[in-house]
Amino acid sequence: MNARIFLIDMQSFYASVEKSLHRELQHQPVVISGDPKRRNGIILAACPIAKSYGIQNAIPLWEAQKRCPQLIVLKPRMQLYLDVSLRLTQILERFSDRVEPYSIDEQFIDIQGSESLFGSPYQIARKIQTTINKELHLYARIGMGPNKVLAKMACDHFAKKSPNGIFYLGPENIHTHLWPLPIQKCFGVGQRMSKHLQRIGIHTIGELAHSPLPLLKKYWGVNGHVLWMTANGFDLSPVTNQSFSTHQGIGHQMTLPYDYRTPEEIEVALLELCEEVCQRSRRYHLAGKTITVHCRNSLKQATGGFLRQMSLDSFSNQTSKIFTYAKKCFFRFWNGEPVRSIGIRLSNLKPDHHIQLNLFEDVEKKRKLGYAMDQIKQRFGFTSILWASSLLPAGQAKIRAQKIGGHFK
Amino acid sequence: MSLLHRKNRLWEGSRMFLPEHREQLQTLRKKQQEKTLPELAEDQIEEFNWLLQEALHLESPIILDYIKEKQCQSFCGFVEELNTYESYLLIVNGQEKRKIFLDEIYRIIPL
Repeated sequence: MNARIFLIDMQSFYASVEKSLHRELQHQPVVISGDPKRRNGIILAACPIAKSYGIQNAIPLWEAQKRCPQLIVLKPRMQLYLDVSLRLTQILERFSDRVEPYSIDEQFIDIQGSESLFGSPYQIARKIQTTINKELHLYARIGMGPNKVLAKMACDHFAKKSPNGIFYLGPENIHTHLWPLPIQKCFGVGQRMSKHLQRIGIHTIGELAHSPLPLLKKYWGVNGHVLWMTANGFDLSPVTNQSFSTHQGIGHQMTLPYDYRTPEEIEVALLELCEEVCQRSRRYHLAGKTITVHCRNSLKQATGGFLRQMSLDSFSNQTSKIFTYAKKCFFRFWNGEPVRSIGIRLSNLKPDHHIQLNLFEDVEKKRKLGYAMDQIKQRFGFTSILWASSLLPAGQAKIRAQKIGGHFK
Repeated sequence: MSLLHRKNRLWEGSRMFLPEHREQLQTLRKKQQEKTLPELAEDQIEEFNWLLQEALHLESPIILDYIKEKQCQSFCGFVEELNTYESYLLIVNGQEKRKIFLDEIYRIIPL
């Protein structure tokens, strides 16, 4: 058994954190949900008791209340959850120096070299579980494997259902446990991909693993190759704590409080997003050349939305310039349907020390203007200086300043 | 069997991470790397004093290891000035000159 990589996942993270702080709610069904009035009324996390009433994550709050009338609904406190997540990282770092947070409630740890200090992989997993439970009153499930992809699938499909919350998936049991699972359970296979795979006769992970590699590469290129490796349990990725030092892209997205129907309303939201994206790019002294615009239409509409990208004529992190391109890109592909959520992403990044000069405008002045605005915001608060359009009814900047990840701090 | 070496791309691409989380994690990592000056014994301070005086008078180069802004730093050069009243020294190497306070130094290596 080569169980050097663990994926540690926290059970009903937000709900469990709240329950650990409100001991009186220990035996009650608790869910965390946003404000239904502002369209955030979906279940972000449900505790195991609430789940026993058939409440799943991401269902609307009213539906959850219908299934369980005595349900206790708490508002999310994102900063608290971030703090707990960081404490979790610190706990794991006692067991190994290679800890890689994967999301707010999932972290990878490579325990190779720690065995002589803490015991066998299984003993280490137990110790991690006990320490987390003792210090944070949270229940951790641990997937173990020889690499990250098997640890992740061990956790998602088996550790969560196993009585002690620990499961090992490796070459010894991959054919008995992983391969019989339906194809959509394979890491990296989404809804659309599973349909494509089923169309060529691949219905289980085992069938994917035994498919000829050239065929998969012919259909899906590198992605096909990666999926084939995943199904066979191969993954050469390291567990690294350096993965946050480089930015691939900087993006922001917002769900609008009501459907925006007019170009004027949409422009307000676009400008605010561009400002946020550019502000973050400037903080890291980065400029981007590719802009991606994402739009999701109201659920009742049929087409769904679009995701399009466009290249800028030069690298930039100026709000006005990015906004011009974002607007151009959005209105080229928008079909006039009511918009539910909207997102902007700046990628193809490089340091902004070198800038492309322009004969017809003062680029340096605009660059300084951006940084001056950032300094004002840093010193006097995010809402101390705003675009005038943010004061319109469609403006979200003020309320977004109080939030993390779309939910209140 | 052909395997793809893609470093950490599989996980970077699928990661769900809030920008605030990322920032706070970076701050934590930075804090973990912060160094504090070890407490020096009296004879050690005396030895530093002697080594600096010698380097100043003989105009011989030294390597200074010191802590600035909670990070370990190192500089090699000639001692240009030793101000014991304000307890700092000036060390030069070509065009580069640094002012280092005596209570930031934790190692001196004469060359």
